Amino acid sequence: MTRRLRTQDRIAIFTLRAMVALLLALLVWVVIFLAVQGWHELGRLGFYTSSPNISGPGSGVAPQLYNTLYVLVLSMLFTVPIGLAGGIYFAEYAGTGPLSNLLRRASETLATLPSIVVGLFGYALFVQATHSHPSRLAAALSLTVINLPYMVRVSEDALRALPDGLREGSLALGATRAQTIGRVLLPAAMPALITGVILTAGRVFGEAAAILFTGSNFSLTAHPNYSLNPLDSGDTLAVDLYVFRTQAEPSAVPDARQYADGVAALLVIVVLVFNVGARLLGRAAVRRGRHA
Amino acid sequence: MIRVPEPATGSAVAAVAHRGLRRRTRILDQLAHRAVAAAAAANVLVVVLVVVFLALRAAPGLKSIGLGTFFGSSNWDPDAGIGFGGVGAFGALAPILGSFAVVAFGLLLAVPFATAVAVVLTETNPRLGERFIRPAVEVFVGIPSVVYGYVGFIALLPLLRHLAPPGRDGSGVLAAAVVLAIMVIPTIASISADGLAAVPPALREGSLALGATRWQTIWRVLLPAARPAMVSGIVLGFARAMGEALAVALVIGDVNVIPNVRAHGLQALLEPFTTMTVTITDGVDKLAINPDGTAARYMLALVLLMLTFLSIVVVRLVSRRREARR
Repeated sequence: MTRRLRTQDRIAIFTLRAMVALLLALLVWVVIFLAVQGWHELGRLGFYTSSPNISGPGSGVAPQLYNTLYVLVLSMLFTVPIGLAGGIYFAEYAGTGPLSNLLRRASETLATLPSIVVGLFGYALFVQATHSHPSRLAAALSLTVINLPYMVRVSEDALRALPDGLREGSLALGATRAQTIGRVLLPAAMPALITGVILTAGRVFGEAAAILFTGSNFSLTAHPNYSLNPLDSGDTLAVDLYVFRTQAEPSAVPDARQYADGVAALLVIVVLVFNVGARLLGRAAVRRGRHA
Repeated sequence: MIRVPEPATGSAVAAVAHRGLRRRTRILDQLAHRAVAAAAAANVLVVVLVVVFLALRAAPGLKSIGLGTFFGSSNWDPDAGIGFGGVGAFGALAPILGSFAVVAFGLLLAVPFATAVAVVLTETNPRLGERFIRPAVEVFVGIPSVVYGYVGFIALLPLLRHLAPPGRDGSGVLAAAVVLAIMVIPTIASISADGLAAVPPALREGSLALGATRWQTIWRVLLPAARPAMVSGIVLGFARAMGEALAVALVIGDVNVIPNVRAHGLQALLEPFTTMTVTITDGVDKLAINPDGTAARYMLALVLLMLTFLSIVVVRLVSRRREARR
């Protein structure tokens, strides 16, 4: 009886570990597979300097890269101040009353909204209702809707992680709540906040559905647009991965597969750099803070 | 420098100046409070705007299509009305069934693996888990879903092609379910792991002290105790999977015909199909020129929105019960 139980225990625990190992192996394989597939394309200079072309070989990501960075910066201009302020409210002011609860539920709802629903909403509000066309601004505003709850949460967590002594000490010295937040809490939370901002920005690279509806121009031609005008339209890298596959003529673009492999590999590398970089930066800042 | 209080007029001026400073600080303090409260309130405003605008755009469809046809018919030809004077058909049964099929099979694959990750992370290998598994899982959350879809397209479909009926390329419910499972495993695993870590140690110790094996403790004590958290994780995974568009679009084939399960059995999972999100996506380039089809797609978005609200409510109910039990 006990023997049977012991065997069962060993088999069960082994199975659990094996499942986790299998999953991790699969995920690591995905990254390596993409890197290997995209290697050739990532080493080609034209990949970074030319434009996507759905009717001939030799496509590149230059305009997509420009657009991705443009939309990222523009959306972060909205996301960071509003999200940080929201995080401050939830960490420092919100109580447990019905109003605070309503605000929390709303933030949770935003965090759960499907990207494509935000895309259709963004199209209705930022494109149709304003009688304009898909643009970088509309895409950036839609991304703000998607990223806002995330930014709120990382800011709230950053402030909550601070020791209460900081807060109490500042208030006891006669500082107001606003002074305490602005001069004591925010500086102390800065490493965590920077990590949070980078992680939030990294999410922009992977967002596709919302941008497809609000900022895409579907014209994968050789006429790239490097203007600074927020009302111009343009695809991002993630959108391109979808659009290029569905629009390119296989007979006219013999290297469509290599190009898409390159885009996928580039996306993964950029996202990994953002993720790992944010964590390392956060850890380094904490370490330096401890020594100072 | 410490000011010695001056008598008479000087002190009055100082007092006024001091009071002025205090009033400014006080006003600034109140302004700051209002500003951050307004930022938090923006969340509510956006949710309201989303509901209003989706409903507004879906309203013409609600009127002209009717709920009976929309939910009851699988005859979907939304773009027939463009240009040639044809009449579109707006029965959305196929994409709705497709969404539920894809998500159900995705969760069926994801939940065992996510539970395994949570258990290994918190119970069997906590040190390795904190050092390696949790960071790895967090990094993989960041990989764009469209990239997972693309990997499915170039690596998974060729594998499934061998199992599929002749003439099929391997796309369908199974391929989409695998891609979605990989996407939502980290979500479910991290919430379940938090739930397991929050189980009072006394439960674990009591079970082990009574002579239960580790596995018996995990299966009969810890997992049941962490069930509310696991349900929350699964519901949030459901919401994410339901809303994923482009990753699914790359591997499902986008064919608006319900696979014949009775005739093909399990092979129906390898027949091209569609989902709500995919059906919305393939209308993206006709939004402005096809008002009827666009209204029908906004109705699908409204269904997705309702499912999102439902998920939030379920998570709230589950966590309230968890709090009440404590």
